[in-house]
Amino acid sequence: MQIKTSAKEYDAVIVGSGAGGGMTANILAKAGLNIAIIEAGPFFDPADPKQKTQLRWPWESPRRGAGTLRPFGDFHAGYGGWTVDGEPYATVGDTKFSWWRTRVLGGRTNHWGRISLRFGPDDFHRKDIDGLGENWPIRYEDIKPYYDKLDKMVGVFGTNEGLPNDPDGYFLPPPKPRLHELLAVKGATKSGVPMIPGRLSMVTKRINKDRGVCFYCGQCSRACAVYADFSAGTCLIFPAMKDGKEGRGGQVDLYVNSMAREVITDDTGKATAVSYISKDDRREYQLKGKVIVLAASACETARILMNSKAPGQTNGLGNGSGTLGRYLHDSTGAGTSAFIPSLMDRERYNEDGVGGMHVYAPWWGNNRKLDFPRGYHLEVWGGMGMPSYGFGGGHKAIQKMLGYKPGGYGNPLMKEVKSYYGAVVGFSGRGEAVARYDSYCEIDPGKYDQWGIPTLRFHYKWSDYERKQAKHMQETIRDILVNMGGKLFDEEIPSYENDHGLLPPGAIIHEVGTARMHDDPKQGVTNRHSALHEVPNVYLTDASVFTSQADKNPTWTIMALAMRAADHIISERKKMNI
Amino acid sequence: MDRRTTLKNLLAGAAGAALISQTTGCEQPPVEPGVAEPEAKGYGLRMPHEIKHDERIANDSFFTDAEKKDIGILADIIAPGTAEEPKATDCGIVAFFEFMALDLPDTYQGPIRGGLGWLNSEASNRFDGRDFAGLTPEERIEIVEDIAWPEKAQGTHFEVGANFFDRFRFLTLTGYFTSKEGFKTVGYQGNAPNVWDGVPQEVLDKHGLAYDPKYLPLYVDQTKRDIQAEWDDEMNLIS
Repeated sequence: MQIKTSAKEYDAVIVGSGAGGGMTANILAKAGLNIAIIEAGPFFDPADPKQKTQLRWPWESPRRGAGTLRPFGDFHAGYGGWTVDGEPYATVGDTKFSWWRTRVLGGRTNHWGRISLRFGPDDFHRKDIDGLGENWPIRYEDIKPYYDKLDKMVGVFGTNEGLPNDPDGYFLPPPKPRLHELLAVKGATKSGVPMIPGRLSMVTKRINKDRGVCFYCGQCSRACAVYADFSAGTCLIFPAMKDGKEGRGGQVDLYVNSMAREVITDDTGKATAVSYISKDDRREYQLKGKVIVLAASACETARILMNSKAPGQTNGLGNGSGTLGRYLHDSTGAGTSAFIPSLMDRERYNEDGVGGMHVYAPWWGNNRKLDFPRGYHLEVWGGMGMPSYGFGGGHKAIQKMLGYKPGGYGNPLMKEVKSYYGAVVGFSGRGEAVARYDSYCEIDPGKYDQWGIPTLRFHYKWSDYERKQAKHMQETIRDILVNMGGKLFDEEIPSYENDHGLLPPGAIIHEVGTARMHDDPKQGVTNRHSALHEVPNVYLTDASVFTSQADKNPTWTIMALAMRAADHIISERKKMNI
Repeated sequence: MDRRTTLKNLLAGAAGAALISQTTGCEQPPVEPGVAEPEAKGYGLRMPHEIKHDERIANDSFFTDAEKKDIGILADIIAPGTAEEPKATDCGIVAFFEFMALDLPDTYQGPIRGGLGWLNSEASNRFDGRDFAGLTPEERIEIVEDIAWPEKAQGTHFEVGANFFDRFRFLTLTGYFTSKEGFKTVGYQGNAPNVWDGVPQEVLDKHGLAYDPKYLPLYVDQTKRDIQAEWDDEMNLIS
């Protein structure tokens, strides 16, 4: 059977509709380019009453929101998980890497925590500072104008603090902290850890006509029906489609339920199309484009390139350096929680707030004086959240802390459980790992997913840099919780053999680095403009291009780099280079 | 260009799906929901494998009538209700157990069926051959007392029963407090559009906490939430 090729040639074909793909599409369409977006999952609009999970009650789910089918619960707007039906992957040796995939329009931006942190000046040249890893080919000054634009375009709340490596921005006003967050700030201050208002991309003040203002339901992970939280579908792709329709921009065609397979090249090695498998009829199609943009997520983008062929290029497209798939790294993560007796029998009032923390601690330490090279930030959680599956689960540990006999039944137990409500607080550390050549993904020979596309296998190791950092997280978090008057659920810090409680790689869903940018084509896959060194009309606008992660969440940098790459595409077109 | 031509030209349309297009200068944009696109099932978009999973549960059953009766009795011992509050069986607890046993079979089927068996055997041995449902309320409590306190039961004949009771108690509490009827007793006030303007003053006072005066002018001024955000060149919000 013949592969069906479109007659139409798009100015750009973009794979992926998340932060990177959505932003690239938005900027290119604004400049008048006609765009095709290929998305592996279904169409999704959280404003559609049929698709909406926001403001639903726990009993509307027969499993009361349990994570049987979705790792973060039944109402979560991330369709996917660490396992996806019919789309396997493997790990090699003692690798514990798990690979998150979101298959839906807007990708992971429908359900992320909206923590939107700029990388700081140091984050672009860590090698200069500690001799480890590699410097980025660009510096903060190169990306700052895009962060500035991004703040105003998408909206992020926060405060200007003048911190050296956590830059100021064009912030919307932050919401006031909740009760447990005020306690957290007090406890952290005692521990010498400064906490500041959170930096999250929810619209706390009107930013444009198309988006509503946050109404504080705390459910951003379910995606917002008034588009008050940022997601790529609602805030980048829908406006671009509307502009195109009304003649203010290029046309944007959306191909959903379409699983990208490979980039097609001509005899000269120039990319000409993307092939995909339609999930509806399982047949292969090709979409022609003058420019090809991959923004399918770090590992999926690497996989598409590894599955692509071009004359003279073996081992995948644009992989002359041999670094495609290499330097894969996720953020580090560890944390613990405590029961706060002073929060027992709390006054009941609505403290849902935004769907995330109202305060956090950017990295405060000095790694020159510590036994690990890279920093981390602290996130805090707790409060009187909506009861869902799992509610009432921790009562025995709390009874023990209070000197009661653990267990029980009847109204005394019911009363106790209610008195503990809203009295548990936890912290999570999220830090930077050092990128390693030996942590990588590659094609798993002879293995295919249900669409007939060769699958990945992973090799990943933490080093003592990360383990020692996790130990520091564990110590710091315990110290803060105790200073809050808390009683720890786990007093003991997990041992070195247990990685000091460091979560396995992939757990934080911040994987980056598989096609890192580098000025030297022998040492990186992409150039400083996010294009393949070897195929200049292929751009990568997801986190695959990160030379290194920071102690920040990657989304804001993915989008700033996507804007910058889109600008480069527009200028190269003008120069007739692509 | 009409919609049909657009789809034909793009060929993906021949598959009848997968394309949501808007076409400059043409009439209404074609919106073709994919055939693989799942239907709503009452609690938001469900994916095909999720719909299949729920359909399997809807057409299946696990607990026998006798087991369901025991579940109701035991759950009402855990959550007996008060004059103002419902008891577990007023909150659909039996149906919830049945659903969860089919939703998470490894977690609940064996342990709960086995535990109910243990309970009935214990009842029979202790009270001249009667099953748990056949006991008086006082007799039932006598057994529950022996299995409701895991530390006491540890290392004794009752340890098996205590392990079962632990899981049963968890599912009862979770089912109770997340049901429409039992949920109210927690006092959760949210899940409704509102304007958050900080912790009530009396609560701050009670906990000896206060907002940092340095940040008070920077927090969102909810009276100006609907005014378009504007900044000066120094990154200061000015609207």
